[in-house]
This record gives sequence, C-alpha cells and structure tokens, in this order.
Amino acid sequence: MARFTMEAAPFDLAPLESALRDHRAGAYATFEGWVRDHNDGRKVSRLDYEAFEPLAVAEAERILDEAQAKFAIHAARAVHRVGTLQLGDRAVWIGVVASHRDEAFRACRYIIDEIKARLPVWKKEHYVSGDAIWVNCQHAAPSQQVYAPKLDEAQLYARQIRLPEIGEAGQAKLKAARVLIVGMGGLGSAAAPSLAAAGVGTIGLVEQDTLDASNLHRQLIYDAADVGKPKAQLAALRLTSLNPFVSVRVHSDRLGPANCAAIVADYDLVLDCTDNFTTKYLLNDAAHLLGVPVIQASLYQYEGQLLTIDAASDGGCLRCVHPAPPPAGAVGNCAEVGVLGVVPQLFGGLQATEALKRILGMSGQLTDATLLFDLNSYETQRLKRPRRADCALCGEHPTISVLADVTQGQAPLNEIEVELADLEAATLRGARWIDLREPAERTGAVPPGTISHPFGTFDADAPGFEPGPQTFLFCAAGRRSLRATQKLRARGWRNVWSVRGGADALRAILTETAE
Amino acid sequence: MQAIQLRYFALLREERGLGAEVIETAARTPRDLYQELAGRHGFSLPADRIGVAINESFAAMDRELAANDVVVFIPPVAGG
Repeated sequence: MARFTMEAAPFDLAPLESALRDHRAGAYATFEGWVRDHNDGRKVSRLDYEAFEPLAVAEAERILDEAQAKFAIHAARAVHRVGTLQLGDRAVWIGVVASHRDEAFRACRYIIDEIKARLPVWKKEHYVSGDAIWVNCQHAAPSQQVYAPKLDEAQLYARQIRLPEIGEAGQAKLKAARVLIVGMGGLGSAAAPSLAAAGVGTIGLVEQDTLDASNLHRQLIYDAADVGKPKAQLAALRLTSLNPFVSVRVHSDRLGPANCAAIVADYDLVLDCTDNFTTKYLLNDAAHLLGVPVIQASLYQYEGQLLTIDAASDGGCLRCVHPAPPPAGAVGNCAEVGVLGVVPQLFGGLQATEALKRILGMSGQLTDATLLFDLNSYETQRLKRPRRADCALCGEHPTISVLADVTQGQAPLNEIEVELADLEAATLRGARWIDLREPAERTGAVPPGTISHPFGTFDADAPGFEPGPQTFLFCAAGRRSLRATQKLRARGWRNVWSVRGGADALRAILTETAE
Repeated sequence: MQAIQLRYFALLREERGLGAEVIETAARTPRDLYQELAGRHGFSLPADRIGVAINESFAAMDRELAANDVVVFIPPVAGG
C-alpha cells in the first residue's frame, strides 16, 4: 500500500488507519480538509480538483520522507482527492503515528502545510452565482512562515522601495494591483516572474497549452523535465515559489469572445502576450469595449513592437494602425518564421516595465505611442499613435460594439466573396446590402434597407454609398457582384464583399432567419 | 521627384532584404509609394494591410509626402 494516493472518489478511512496500527505508537494524529461553502467572500457550491498525478505523488512521497526525517514519528500516510467534490466532502486526509502526541501533531501540521504549498493540485471553485474559476491551491505557502526562517515580505522589495517613484506607497499600489497575463509563451514567461517578484498582488494566467520542448529556448521559467505538462500550472507553481505572497490564478480555457468579459472583469490591467491576430484583435477591442487597458507586444524574428491600448487616453488602438488582421497565413508567428529566444525575453520585460509604470503612475507610458525595437541594428523608434477619426473601434463613428472573433462569424476580411451561411446572424443584421440586379430581374425578398444599384450603371469611382459598415453586394448569381467588389477593393475599399451564390443564397438565409 | 528616407519593419524588411534606404520617387502618398515598392520588390501584403509612420508619427496612407520625409512601413506582426 502506497503511503500517498490520489483518489477520484470518496475513500474509506478504515484501511488507512489499520495500515498505521503500530504497538510502538502512543499517539495517532489525523487531519482532514473538507470542502467549505465559501472562499474569498464568495459562496461556493462545489469544487473540481485536478492534479498532475505523477508529479503530485512524487512530491507527496518527498514530503512524507521529510516528515519522517524531521520528526520522531513511526509512520505517516496521506490521501488527496481529485475530481468533483460536494460541500462537506473530505478533500485531504493525513494520518501520523508517533510514540508521543507532540511529534505526531507537529508532523501532521508539517505534512498538510507542505502539501498545500507544494503539490501541483488545482481547484475549480463553482460559485452559487453560477460561475466558476480555477484557483491555485498553492498560494501563500504557510509552511514557509512556520518552518523556514521567517520571510518578511517588505524585505523582498527593499531595493525597489528605495526608488523615489516607488517607496512604501508605490509598493502598496503594486500589492493591490491585479494583472491578467494572456499567453504564457515567450512574452508571458518573461513578464510574469518580473511582476511577481515586484510584488504585484494578484496575477492571472491564461494559457491552455502544454509545455513543448521547442518552447524551452525562450520560455525560461519552465524545466525540460516538465515537457508535456500544462504550462499555466507550471508557471503558477514557479511564480508562487518565487514570491509566496503573490496570489496566482489560472484560467486554462482559451480566451474568446464568450469568456473574455468575465475573465477580464477581475483585473485592472491586461498583458497581451499572445502569438495570434485573433486574440490580439479581441484584446484590442476589449480595451475599448470593456475599458481595461491592454499592454500589447508582438514579435517578428529579431524585432518587436510594444504599445498600450487605453480607452481613457487619446492614443489610438491597434485598429488605428492596422484596421484588420492580414490575410490568414500572410505573416508568420514564432513557430512559422522562427524567433531568437532573447527577443521575447526583452519584450516580455518591456511589457512588465510598462505594467509597473502604469500601476505606479509613472511618466513615459506608451498609451499614445508605439515602440519599435530591432535587435539587428539595436535601433529603436518611438512612433506617435494618434486616434484615427475613421477607426471602426475608437474613431468618431465606431462600428464595432461587441467582442467577436475577427476570423469567425464575421466576413473574412481577406476574401472578396462571402458564404452567407458561415456568418453569424448579428453580422448579417448589422450589414449594409447592395442589390446590383437590374429592375426586371428583382424577385424575392431582400434584407430591410437594401440599396438598389443596377450593375449596368454601377461606377466604382462613385458607387453611391460611403465606406462604413460591412457591405455585401449581391446580384442574381454572384458574378456581377464579384466584379463590382473587385473594382471597389482596387480603389482601397476594405469593408465590402460579394455574396457567393447571389440572390438565391440570400433567399435561403432570409427564409432560415424567418423560421 | 523627391528623396524619401525609408525604413522597413519585420516581414517587409525580410522581403526587401534591408532595413533602411533613401530613394528618389515621384509617389505623392505612402500608398502610391508602397505600390511602387511592392511592384519592384514583390511585397506579399496588400497596401491596405500596411501601417505607415511619417516622421515619427503614424499617418494615413493617403497623406501627402514631402521631400526628406522619414517613412516607416509597418506590417502587422503577432509573434509572442
């Protein structure tokens, strides 16, 4: 019988107790951890526990060995639950036998503290209000205060508190700050430890990937031995080891339009450390639609750029420079075009710098400028980034009002034709429709507000409508609308598409919507 | 014809094969200039996906160019 087990279902205590029976023992101390109905002021309805079992078992065996070495005990055993637990369920059990009670109590306390501090176990708290969040079980390792030389939190920050811009007041601001890091790749794994070490009180990590060997040349917080394990949890373990006074929260679902607002709501500041345009545009839009500032870095081989998107400033957003992402596959990410490992280290460090400056209210932030840095030439450029009056997000007449995946549900910006069946109802409702059929051909229903513009008299230099909302051109079969759209695109129009399949495709959508 | 100081970033630097150059051009706007360069060097991105900065400030692609302007063409990047 192993001394430590992880159990997926409620377990029986009798065999555990009988395995500890020992006639030398005059004391038997046990500890049980139960699921309680509240945490951090919120009402909890149930919990899900998740662990990396091999790592957890090995670590627990080490803890039991340590207890055996430190205290005069005869034996110790422990069990940790995984899976779904209801209120009152037993989550942890520890049993220690010793000749005398003092050593049994002390060893029991040691084991539970170390298990809480060191075991890679995660709990998802389900709240009575219906939502849920993954919580790192390891934060604020109490054992370091009980058994290690007492750690004074203020001592950790002594060198930065000396800076006139920080001081005690600045350190308190850092402690109160809540920063979400989206993406724990090259950028995130450089930014996160800098923020934790500086004493940022709450750090959230969004990452759904497992560690790959090809990550290690630039993601220096991970160990080669951990390839294959979830990165968010490895990172959280590393951050809490680095600074046990920091609370680390893990969000292991991919960030998308559906969960973005709920996740971001708990934080004052977001670091965009992602490597894809979909999330970069989502977070850019969130900066304005949800009002949370976003510090974004993006890399290409030996260079990168850094900017802060802040709705409260007069600076522009990502869309002011690049209104829409490039065609899929046109610009490579780190996996496709390669990256020198120190580049994300530097840019992640710059993101952390910008975050600290923001929390501390220091000057020189990049809310209205973009920093370009090229490591080939060591050339830096600081480019002013004013708002564009015609920006679809932060301009004078914004057309973007909901968070969406720029590559799904919306018209694919890189293509000229759209398949209406692929688009979401909201996109169809918000669009402008141009009917290019001649009067004699017009049969069947068209969307409300459709503008008629016979192809015979269509002039791409004066099409009779202004650039603005997403615009769909259609004709009977989709050929004339394609030609008209091509002409408009050649004149710099972005937001126009031809409806593939013409009026028949449109009719199918209108019938479906009516039903 | 007027002299323009050009800087390229990321993918454009790669496609151009250098980071900076001075050229003589008749192009009146960054968009015309980009089209001219794209034709000459085979840039893969369309002009409407490129950001431009003139003299250290982002600008519209149809702003008028002046002699000795420093023009930086910035393609979108997403690595992380």
